[in-house]
Amino acid sequence: MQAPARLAHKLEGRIWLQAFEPCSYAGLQVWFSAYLNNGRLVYAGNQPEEVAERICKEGVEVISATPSWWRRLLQTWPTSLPYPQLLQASLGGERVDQDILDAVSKHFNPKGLTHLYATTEAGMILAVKDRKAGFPARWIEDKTRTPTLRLDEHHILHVTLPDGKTVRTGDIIEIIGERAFFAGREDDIINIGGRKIGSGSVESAMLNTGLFADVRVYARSNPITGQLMAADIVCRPGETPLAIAEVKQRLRSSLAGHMVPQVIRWVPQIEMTANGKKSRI
Amino acid sequence: MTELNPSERLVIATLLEVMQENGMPGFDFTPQTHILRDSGMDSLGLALTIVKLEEQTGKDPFADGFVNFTTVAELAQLFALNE
Repeated sequence: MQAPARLAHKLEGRIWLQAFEPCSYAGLQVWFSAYLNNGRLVYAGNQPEEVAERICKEGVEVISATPSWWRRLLQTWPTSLPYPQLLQASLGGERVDQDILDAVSKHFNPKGLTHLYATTEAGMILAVKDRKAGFPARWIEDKTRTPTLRLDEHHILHVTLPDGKTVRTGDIIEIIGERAFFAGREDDIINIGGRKIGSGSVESAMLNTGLFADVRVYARSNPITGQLMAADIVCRPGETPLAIAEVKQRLRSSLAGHMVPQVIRWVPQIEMTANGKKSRI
Repeated sequence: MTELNPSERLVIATLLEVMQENGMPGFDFTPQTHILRDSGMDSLGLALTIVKLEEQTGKDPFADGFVNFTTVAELAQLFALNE
């Protein structure tokens, strides 16, 4: 998934944050978006603790970044520094969960808060502006939309482009009520003794408990069940890590039993790739 | 009751740690306990026990494929500490 370069009238002449290395793919996308909108770019720098200062000092109005990058920003935001209001905050390139939409909304009170879903093959597929994770399930099979979305029997999203070409995205969609959610990539499925679980849906469920600043769920092999679900968890700023038994107990009280990872460990932070995505184990 | 060797002690402590983590009541393990049949631990708990034993001992007794075991003593033998 990646966020495409965009052109929007209200963003004309604004101040954009260059959140990623300008020579990285994600960095280039922001560079083009700012360029197309006659914006001015402010380079965020490499030191997480400097980013917040620079956003405030330079009067940044538009930030487009991955959920992992936003989480890092919120974790490292100095307690003494007031949060500025943003004109536009965008999240994309990774699955966007409700907890990070809520946190960005609460702290930066952006006039526009958009999450985007795009792929290399199909380009921009969805832009969701209602501040809710996922997208309306009725968009699937809606022939008036471009591109057209369809789920196959394995719940994998296919998109049909205006030229009639169909792209299999490899992203798994889970429909809950009237909403469709990204449950992970088909290659992120964990097989625990024959029971298959999408690591993405477990990450979403864990993040939505509000207990953690960030979560990474992955498979760990073992001789008994083939794979075991493991989770790295990051403590929320200012809180003390709970004992793992206590973490599991809280997860059991809010998640279905099979969604609670067996191996859980606290980590100081989850590594990001150069494009600002959660690095996968 | 027979004296426990160090790796049996480690295996029992790890089994109890996993049971506590997973919200299960404890169990009075002996070397002869059939882990899955007698203690109420499920296969996921046993899998976690092995992950923890691998981390603590640095050993990977299943690297060349599955080795059969049912009792505490047999599992302890696989992670024997004095080698």
